Amino acid sequence: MHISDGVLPVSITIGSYVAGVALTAWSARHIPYRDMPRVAVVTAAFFVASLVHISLGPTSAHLLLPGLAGALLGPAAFVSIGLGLLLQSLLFQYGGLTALGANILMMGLPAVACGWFFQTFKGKGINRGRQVVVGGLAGALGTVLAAIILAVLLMTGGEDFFGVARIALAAHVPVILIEAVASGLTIGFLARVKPTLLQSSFAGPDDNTPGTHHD
Amino acid sequence: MDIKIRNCLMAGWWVLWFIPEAALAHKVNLFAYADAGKIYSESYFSDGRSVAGGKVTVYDSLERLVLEGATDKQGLFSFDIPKTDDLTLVLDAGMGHKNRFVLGKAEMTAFRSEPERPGVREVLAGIGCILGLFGTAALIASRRRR
Repeated sequence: MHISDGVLPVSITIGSYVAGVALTAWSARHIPYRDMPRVAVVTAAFFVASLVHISLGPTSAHLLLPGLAGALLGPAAFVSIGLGLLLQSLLFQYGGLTALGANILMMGLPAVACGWFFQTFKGKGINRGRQVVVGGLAGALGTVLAAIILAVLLMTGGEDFFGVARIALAAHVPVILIEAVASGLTIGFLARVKPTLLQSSFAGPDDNTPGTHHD
Repeated sequence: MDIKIRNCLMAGWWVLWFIPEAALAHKVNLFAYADAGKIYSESYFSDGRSVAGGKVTVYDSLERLVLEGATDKQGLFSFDIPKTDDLTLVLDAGMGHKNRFVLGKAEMTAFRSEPERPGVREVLAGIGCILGLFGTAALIASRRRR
């Protein structure tokens, strides 16, 4: 689910570039110092996940992981996704360099939505079962939202919204299911070994971001 | 006497060594590839000079003549893919210089836009880049904290 060069109209390309890069830069500035290793690891996972092709169903699709990245990083996922997509474009030729902005929005906005979803519904305290279920739902939701944003973006290039959305969702049904399971398992594992990792990056006590209180 | 025999052997060895070289010096090479619905061929002599005005004939897998043409000054000759089949290109550069090149049909059906699968090198490069960038960012942040 990477948009290639020359698919979108110029105005949308430029607009999405500005928005995508601005959001990436904003989130990069707000990563607390102690969260840098976590963001680096999620970035590496997001970068490599695109190589995991799932040849089930009508087409071959690959893992995307915006939902898991969002659940683990919150708004900081924009940095992971921006850098991951840039490297995927440069090294794998996945997605055009001119469409990078659109691709960042397509993966980043679902990630942030999933991060909010996970933080809101995971419940207070350590409730592992609930975290697994909510994490799995976030994983599935990420790819569903990405497919919808893809359809919105391609609609600006003159394609039929419902046609694209249906095809993109149908092609990603296996990916959605696998990401739900993978996200749920990952979050369940983290909830057991390091539950503090599941706290939101931005909401937790941080130590170098000006303007946030220490507690 | 030993030395004489050895010298003779050496001389013979050198002659044998150079004969095929001399014969190869005017070998012609033909190379062809398919790209975006066309087949491109390049013809050159073994010393790198291109074959200008060489005759190229194309045969299908049943040895039937498909088309023929001549190379330009750069030794290039291109044509639209006539049919999806194993094609044999035969170059006749004159004076007995001849060579052939078989272009499999798999090369014609391969999509040009299909990217090569990324290898281990790309993956490691990307991960290294990510870790390096975050390491640098952490370094800068730790300096600022002091």
